[in-house]
Amino acid sequence: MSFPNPATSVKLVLLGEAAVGKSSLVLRFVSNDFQENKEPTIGAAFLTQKCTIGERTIKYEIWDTAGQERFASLAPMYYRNAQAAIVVYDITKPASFIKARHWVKELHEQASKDITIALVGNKYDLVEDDTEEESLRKVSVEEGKGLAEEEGLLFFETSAKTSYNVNDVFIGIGSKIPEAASAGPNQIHQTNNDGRIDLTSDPNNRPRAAGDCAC
Amino acid sequence: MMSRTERRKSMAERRPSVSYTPSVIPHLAGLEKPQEPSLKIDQCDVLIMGTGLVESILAASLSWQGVQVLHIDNKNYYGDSSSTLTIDQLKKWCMEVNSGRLQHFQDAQIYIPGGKSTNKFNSKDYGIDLSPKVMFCKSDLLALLIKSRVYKYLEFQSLSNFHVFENDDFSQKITTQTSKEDIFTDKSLSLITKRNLMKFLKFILTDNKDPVKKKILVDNGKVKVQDFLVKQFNLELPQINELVYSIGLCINEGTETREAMAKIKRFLVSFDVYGSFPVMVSKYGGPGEISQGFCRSAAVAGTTYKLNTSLVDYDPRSKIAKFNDGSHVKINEKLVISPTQVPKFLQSNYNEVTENLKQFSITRLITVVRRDCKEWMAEQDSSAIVVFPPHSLPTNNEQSVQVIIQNGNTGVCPEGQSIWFSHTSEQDLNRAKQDLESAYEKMEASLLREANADLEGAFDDQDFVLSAQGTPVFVNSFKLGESLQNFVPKEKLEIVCKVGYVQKTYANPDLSNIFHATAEDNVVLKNVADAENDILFSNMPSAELSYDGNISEAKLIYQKITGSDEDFFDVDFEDDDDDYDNNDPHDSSNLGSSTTLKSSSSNALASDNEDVIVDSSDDDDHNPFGADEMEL
Amino acid sequence: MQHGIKRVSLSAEAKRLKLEKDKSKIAHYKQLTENIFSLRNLQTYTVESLKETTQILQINPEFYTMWNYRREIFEHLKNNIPVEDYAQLMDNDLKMLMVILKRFPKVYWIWNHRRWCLFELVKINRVDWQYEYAVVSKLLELDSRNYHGWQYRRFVVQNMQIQATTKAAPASKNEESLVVLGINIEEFKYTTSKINKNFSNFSAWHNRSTLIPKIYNLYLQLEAPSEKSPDVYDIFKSPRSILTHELELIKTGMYMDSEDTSIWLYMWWLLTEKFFTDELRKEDGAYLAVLEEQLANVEELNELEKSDHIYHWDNCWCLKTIILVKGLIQQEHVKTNKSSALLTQDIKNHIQALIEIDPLRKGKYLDQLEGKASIIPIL
Repeated sequence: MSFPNPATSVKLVLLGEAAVGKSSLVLRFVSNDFQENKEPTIGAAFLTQKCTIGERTIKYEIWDTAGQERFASLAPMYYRNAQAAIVVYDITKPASFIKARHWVKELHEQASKDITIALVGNKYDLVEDDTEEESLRKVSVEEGKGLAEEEGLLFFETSAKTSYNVNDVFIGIGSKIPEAASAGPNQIHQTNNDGRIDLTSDPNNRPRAAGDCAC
Repeated sequence: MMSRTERRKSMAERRPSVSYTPSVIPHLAGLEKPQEPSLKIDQCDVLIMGTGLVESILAASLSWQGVQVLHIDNKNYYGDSSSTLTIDQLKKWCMEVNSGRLQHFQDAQIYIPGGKSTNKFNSKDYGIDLSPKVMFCKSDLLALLIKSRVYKYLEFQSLSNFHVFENDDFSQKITTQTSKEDIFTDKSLSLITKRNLMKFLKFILTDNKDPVKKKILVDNGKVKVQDFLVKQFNLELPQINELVYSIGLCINEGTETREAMAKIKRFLVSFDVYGSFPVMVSKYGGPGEISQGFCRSAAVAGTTYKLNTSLVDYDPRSKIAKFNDGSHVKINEKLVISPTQVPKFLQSNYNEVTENLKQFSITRLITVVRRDCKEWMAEQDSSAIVVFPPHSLPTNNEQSVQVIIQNGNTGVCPEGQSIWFSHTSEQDLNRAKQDLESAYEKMEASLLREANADLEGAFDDQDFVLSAQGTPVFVNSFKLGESLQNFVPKEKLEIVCKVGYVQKTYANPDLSNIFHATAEDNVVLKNVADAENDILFSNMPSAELSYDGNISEAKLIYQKITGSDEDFFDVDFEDDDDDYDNNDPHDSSNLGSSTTLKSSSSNALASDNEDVIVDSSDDDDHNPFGADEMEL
Repeated sequence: MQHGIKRVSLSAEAKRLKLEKDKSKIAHYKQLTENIFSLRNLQTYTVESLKETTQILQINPEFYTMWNYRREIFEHLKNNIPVEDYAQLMDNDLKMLMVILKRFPKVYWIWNHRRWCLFELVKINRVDWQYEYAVVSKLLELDSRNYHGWQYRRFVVQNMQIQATTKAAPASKNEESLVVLGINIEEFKYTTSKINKNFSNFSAWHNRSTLIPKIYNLYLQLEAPSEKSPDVYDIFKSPRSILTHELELIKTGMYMDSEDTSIWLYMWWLLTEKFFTDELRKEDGAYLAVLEEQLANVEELNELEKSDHIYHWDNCWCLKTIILVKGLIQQEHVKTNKSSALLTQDIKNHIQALIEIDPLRKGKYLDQLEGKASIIPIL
C-alpha cells in the first residue's frame, strides 16, 4: 500500500523508411491491453503511453516523424533530448534495411550521446509460415543482429500485426534507460532544477498577480 | 457528380462559416490511416515559401482546418529570417547577405577573434537567433502554444530581471516597483510616491471598458506618455523611465500614451502568471525554435515539408508551380511567399507592391562572450534584459537599445558563456552601429568593474608586509595566483564571436500597420498584378522585442486566404494528460478523465445531485495582447 | 503516422463521442452512488467499500454523507486490524486528501475530514504536526487568502503548542513559555510575510490580531525576554511599542490602497482594542495623542484623495475613519467631563457627507445621526 513513484518521462523518437510499419508498431504498443486502465492518448503533439517495468513507471512520449523525414526535412527539435529511438525496417524489404543504417548514423550525429536505440525488423508475420525454399524474408536475423552489435543497439524482430515482440521492444528500452533523479512526491512547484516552467499548471490556482489588487 | 468543367469551389466558399462548431480531435483519430508512402505530390491547396515564425503558424493553422499545405524553404534549415543558427551556419549566412542573395538583409559582419588554438569552440554548441524575442507570460502566442499543444515541444525558462541603464550605471532590477509587495516594502520610496505608483498600477489594470479610464485615455491617447504620467499621476522621472522604457519596452520619446499604456499593461498582467517574472524565453533558441514547433504541428496535421527547395516557375492559368528539383505541383488556392524567398521571376511584382511602403531598418549586434553574466540574472534565471533608454548613452542615442542576455543554461551556448543580442530601431545606420557599440562597451565595462572589485576584495592586510621603505609588498602569491585566474584584464572581455547586420522590414516598430493593417501600409493586403490574386507576400520580422504582432500577422494572411479568421486554430484537442494520476492514492481506481470534473460551488451542500458534475472546458485565461489593447 | 483531420467530417462525430462520454460519466456517478448507499444500508465496512467512497469523493467532495460513511468504515476497521495498518490507512487518507484539497481548496468537508484523521493519529500516538504545518503552508502558498487554510493553520499551530507543552514535559515554566513563544513568533513572522506580499488579506490581519496579545503575554512570562528573538522583542516591549509598529505598517497600506477594507478594519481594531487602550490610558493624554496623530494622517490622505477625485469627494474609508477617530476622541472628553456629547456638529456633518457618497448604507448613517446606532463599532 505504498505511494507510487511519479513516472519518469522518456522522449522516444521513431525513424525508418516510409511504410515499414512505424505507426502500426506504436499503435500496437499504445492500444494493446498492455496495461489495464492506462489508456493511450493522442493529441496534437505526440503519443504517450505508460509502461511499468519492475518498480519503475516510464511514461513514453512517442514522437513520430509526421512525414517530415520524407524530404529529409526533420527539424533539429526532433532529435533534441531524445532519450530513446526506434529505428524500424521491413524484413521483407532490403532497401529499408539500408535506410535503417542511414538513420542510425544520423542519430549518432544529431542526437545526444547516451541515447538508447533499438533496431527493429518489422513484419515478422509475413515470414512466420515461410518454408526454406520460398521465403519473403530478405533481411536475415543475422544481418540485423550484426548491425545492432556493431552500433551497440538493442535488436528485435516484431510483428505489429500479431503484436509479436512489440511490448518487448518498449520494455527492453525502458530497462536500458538510466534512472533519472526522481522528483519529490509533492510537485507543487512549477519549476524544477533546470528552471523549466510547467505551462500546464493552472494559472487560476496561482497566487493572485501582485499588481492585481482587489480592484 | 461534379463535371470536369465545373469550377472547383474556392476555399472561402467551401468553409462553412455560419453553423460552425469547433472540432474536437478524438482519441487516436487518423492513426489507422497511414500516409501514402509515395514521395510524389501532385497538388496542394496552399504553397507556403519560407519557414519563418509567421509562416509556420500559418501552415499549422491552415492544416489543422483541413487545408492541404505544401511548405517549402530555400534554405536547408527551418526558420527563414527568424532562424536559430550555429556559428558555421551564421558564417555562411553572412556571406550570403553580403553577396546580395538575401533580400532585406545587408551589411553583415562576423568577427571571430583568434585562431583555432586561442578561440576554440564547437559551432554546433551555439543557437543564435536572427531575430531574438522574449515571450510575455500573458500573450496571444503563449495562449496559442498551449491551445495547439505546440508548447509540448518546447521548454520555457523564466526571465525576471530588466535592467535600465541610467547616469552611466545600471540600476538594480526594475521589477522592484512593479509589484504591490515591492512597493509596500520598499523603504526608499516616499508614501506619496508609493501612493502615486499604486494609483497608476490600479488605473492600468482597470478594464479598458471602464468609462473613466476610457475617457482619460481617449483624451490623452495621442499625448506623449511622459507628459501624461506627470500630469495625471504626478510620477517622477526615475519611475517614468522605468515604466516607459523598461517595463513598457518603448523605444523612443515620441511614444504616445495609448501605445505605452498597452505595453506597460502587458508586463503587469504577465507578472505572477507562472511565478514572479513577467517573461519567458524558450530554451535552445527563440523564434527559430518556436517555428520548428509549429512546423511539426503542421506536419502532424498533414503539411508536407521540403527544405532546400525553391520555386522556379508558376503559371497563374494552369496553376502549376515548378521547383528547382524538377518537380511540379498544382496549387489549388494560394501561394504565400516570404520576403527572403521571392523567386527571380516574381521580383518585379514584389517590387511593385512594396514600392510605396515605408521601410524600417533594424540594426543588430550579437556578441558571444566567455562570461555567464550570472550577476545580471535572478537566481533561478539564465536570461536578463538590459535597456538603454533614449539619451542614456554617450552617443546620445535617440532610440532605445534593447539587449537580451542569455547564458549557457538556456542551451544557446556552452556553460560559462553568454550571448548578448542587442538591437536598435535607429534609422541612421551609422548612428545605429555607434549606439550598439556604445551599449556593448557600457555592458563590458560594467562586467569588468565588478571583476576588479572582486580582486580588491580578495586581499586583506595580512597579505601584505611593509618593505624597508615602508611600501606594502605583496606576499601571498598563492592567493594572487588564484585571483588572477578569475581576473579579466580591463581591456578585453573574451569574445567567441561577434555578428552585426542590418535588417529591413515594412513592419512599423510600433506594430501599428500589423495590428491595424490596411492595403496602403501592409504588403499582405496588396494585390499582386498578373497573378489573379493567387500570390501573397508576407512581412519580414519586426523590431519588436516580444512576440507581439506575430499572431496578428498570421491571422491576417489566414483571413486573406480563407475569407475569415473566425476559425483560426479553432481546434480542441482531447485532454491527453492526466496529471493527477501521479498523485493518485493507492486505493483509488484510476479515474482517468476525472480531472476535468469540478464541483460547482453553488452546490455547497449537494448530495447525490449529478448537477455537480460540470465538465469544465478550459477557460481561456490568456487574453491575447495585441490589437484590442491598442484600440482605445 | 499522419493524423491530419478534415474538420468538417469530424466535428459531428466528435460531438457525439463527447456527449456519450459525458453520459457515461453521469451514469458511472449514479451507479457509484447507488452502490454505496446499498453498501451502507447493509452495514458493509470493508476496504472495498472504502475504495468506493474514495472514487465518489474524488468526483464530488461536497457529498458529506460519503465522508460520514467513510469514517464509519474506519471506526469499524480500526477494531479489526493491527494498529500499524490503521496508521497506514490514515496516512494514505491524508495523502488522498492533499490531492483533493489541491483541486478543491474551499470545500469544508475535506478540511473537516483531515482534522478527524489527525485526531485518529493522535489517539494512536502517530501524529506528525510538523508535517501538517508544512502541508498547510504549501496550500496557503497556492492561495494566501483561503479562509479555510488560515483556520486550519491555527488549528495545527494550537496542536503543535499542546504537543510541545505536554509531550516533552519541559523542565521549567520558563522553558515551556520559550517553546510556545517560539511557535507564535514564527506565526507572527508568517503573517508579516503574507501581508508584505499582499496586504489585502483579512485572514492574515485577523491572525495577527490574535497573536499580538498572546506573544506579549508570553514575553512577560520569560525570565530574560530580550534574549528571545531580539528583533521581535523590540516590537513587543510594550503594548505601546506594538501599536506604534503596527500603525506604521498600515499607514503605508492606507496610502497605497485607500479602498482596502482589511487595512482599515485592522486600524480600527488597533485604535479600540482594550489591550492597547488600557495601557495608553494609564498615561495622561497618551491615548488622545495617538488618536490625534492618526486623525491627522487620515485627514491628510483624505485631502489627497479629494484632489484626485473628479468631483472632489471625500474618500469613503477615510471619512468613516475620521468619524470613528473623532468619536473616540469625544468619548475620552466625555469620560473626563470635558465634553458632554459624543455627536458633535462636526461629526454630524461628516455623517451627512457619508450619506451622499455611500448611499447604500444610508439607513445606518441616519440611525447614527439620531443616536440610534453608535459611531464607534464594537469590533
